[in-house]
Amino acid sequence: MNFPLDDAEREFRTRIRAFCQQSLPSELALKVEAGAELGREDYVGWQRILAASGLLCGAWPKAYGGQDWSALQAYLFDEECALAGAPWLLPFGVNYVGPVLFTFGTPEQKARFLPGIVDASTFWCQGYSEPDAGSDLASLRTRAVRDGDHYIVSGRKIWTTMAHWADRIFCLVRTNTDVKPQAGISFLLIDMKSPGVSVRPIVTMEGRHHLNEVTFDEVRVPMSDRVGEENAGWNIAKFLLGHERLLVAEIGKQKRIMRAIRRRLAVGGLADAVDVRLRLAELDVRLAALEWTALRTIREAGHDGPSAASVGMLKTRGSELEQALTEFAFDLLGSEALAYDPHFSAVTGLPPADGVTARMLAARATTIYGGSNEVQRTLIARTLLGK
Amino acid sequence: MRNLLTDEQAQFADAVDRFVAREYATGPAAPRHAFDRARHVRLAGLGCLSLSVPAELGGIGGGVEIMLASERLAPALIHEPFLPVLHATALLSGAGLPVEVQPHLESIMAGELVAVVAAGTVLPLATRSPSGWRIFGRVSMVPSAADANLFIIAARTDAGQTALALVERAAAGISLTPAPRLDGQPAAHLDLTSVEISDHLLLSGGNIGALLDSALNMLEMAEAAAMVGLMTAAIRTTADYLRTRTQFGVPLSSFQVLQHRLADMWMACEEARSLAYAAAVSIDAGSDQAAQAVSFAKVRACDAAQLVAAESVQMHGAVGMTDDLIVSHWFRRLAALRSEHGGRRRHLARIAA
Repeated sequence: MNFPLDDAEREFRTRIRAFCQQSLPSELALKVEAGAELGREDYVGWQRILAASGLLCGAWPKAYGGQDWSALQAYLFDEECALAGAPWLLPFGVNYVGPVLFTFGTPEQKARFLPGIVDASTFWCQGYSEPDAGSDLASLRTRAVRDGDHYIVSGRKIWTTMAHWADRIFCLVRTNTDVKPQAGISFLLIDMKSPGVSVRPIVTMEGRHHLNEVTFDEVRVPMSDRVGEENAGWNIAKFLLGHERLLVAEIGKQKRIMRAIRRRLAVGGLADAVDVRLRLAELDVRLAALEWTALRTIREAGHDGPSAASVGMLKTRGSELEQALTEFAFDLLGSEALAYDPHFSAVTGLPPADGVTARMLAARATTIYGGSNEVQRTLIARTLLGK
Repeated sequence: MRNLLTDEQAQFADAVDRFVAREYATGPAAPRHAFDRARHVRLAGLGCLSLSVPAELGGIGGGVEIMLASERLAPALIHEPFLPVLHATALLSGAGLPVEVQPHLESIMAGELVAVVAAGTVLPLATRSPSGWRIFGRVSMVPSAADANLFIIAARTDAGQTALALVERAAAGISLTPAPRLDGQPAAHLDLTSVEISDHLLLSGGNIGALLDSALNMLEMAEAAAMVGLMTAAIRTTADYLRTRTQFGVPLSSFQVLQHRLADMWMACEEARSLAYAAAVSIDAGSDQAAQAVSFAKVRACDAAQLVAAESVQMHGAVGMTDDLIVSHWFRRLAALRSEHGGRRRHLARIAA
């Protein structure tokens, strides 16, 4: 049941598949397939391999070092990498602050920061959520007060993925408390090594550390590191949030999880159980529905990009499917699931059960992050009800 | 539930509640408990280690009492081996228990000795030796093995019979390897290398299989009750969070969608509670339907737990995912209990048979 692609698109997909086969280190693919814990070098190493072949920022305009990929090419690229067992391609530089910079940045900012993204030498993280500002992001309180040609920044960001590895953080901060919340926000680029920046690790349910709390204690940030006008940051945030949500259907990853389920069943005792076979069929249908919806969304997208409701749907259905798949894989483990070490090492052959459990636990976050599924449903309903 | 209990049962339930409040840190932070032998003795003082032992052997046995205690102890995520000892004493109370073992039973009920059951899928082998029996093999993931004084090991004799071997922790040839569990509960792999026991400490005979089954039944009823207790705590904590957490200037509890989903959690939990009660009563009545009743209770508990655990994390938002807060620990404990002993599949198959 293959989605119609033209010759150029098929050729592109073949090219990416061949690249991954040739250039993705097999030990890294083994770790990713097994659901093992990845380190900084795993993520950055893969980015550098892509950068060396000009594939890291393929979706960027040629003028900024990209290849002007269409949305469909970007989609095919993501899918092929995931299927090959590539690690999650960190979006913070490539998909978030990079496009922000070439859309809203000054020539000086572009010259300073874009090369480090294109060659994967700068590790970026995203400072958005705060303890009291999650779904209601606009209510954020991290304060940036002018002091000559600097801002003094104080506040706390939370759920900051990989802040402990990052060189720089892009932050939404409050520069005006006298106006409605959205009208008083600015977008700052902050050096993680600045005096006053501290990072506290947060361990999540699967027992691994990738999230953090970042505290800013009177951190001096040059005004030249503000992107866009002062108090015009919310528009930049909305631009970026649109990009964030498009990425989360993750079809390639779902297919890889299904493949792992089938591989495990082939050596276990449940492959012929009727309920298991029917359940697999149900999940196949859900995956196909998601895949064709993603491709249809891309094809149907107009000049302004895909509809907000479609993007919301892909995020919602994608996260729910990931939970259903990882739950099913976990259930199939039976009492093998009881032994669990989140820091297990990947081995050749059938991956340890720990990876299945780690993925099931970690997947509980997919319906919460990137705009919770509750928020997505409200968004969809608003478009239907004309609110 | 109150009006279904006798006065003694209600008092017992209250005593367990007071014990938990006194002995274990409660509140939203994730607990960091460890096995405390003195606390284990205090748990015994309440009668909690005598619940699967019939009165004629000195216990205060009762299915409903097991349910009440298990429900209340579960959310505290205790490391005192309440469930493992319940399982062990259920086995030791079975027919044909040698007179030499009975003093052990008293010490176990008093909390002075810890006994746990080591029953895996591959049974260690027991062969005859000049002084009795010699045992070889490995049992994986034995609960609270490192805190145990006595192992009741399901073994296979070289004649092909299922047997129970009573082995002391201090016996030569025993080694334990810590085995980290999904829910953080203590467990270890038990390796037996030429472990010698006297003849009278190996119980074999046609009824051992049935004994293992009925003791497992009692454990699984207690596990279903534990799941109900965990879900009850998760629902209460979620309701508290919805009431206090504000976004967009209002408490989360004002969103109707969340109100309805909270109601769904409660309904699922209450159904599980009803069938756990049915199983408890069935066991008390000595009914031949007790095994079925436990299967019904386990299936409902598993399905409810999947919903309640997931929703409690989701409704807490990102904080529900953190290791610092107890909600994710309840999620993991419920996931582990759903995986024990073949899970819902085995019980559905038993019902369908």
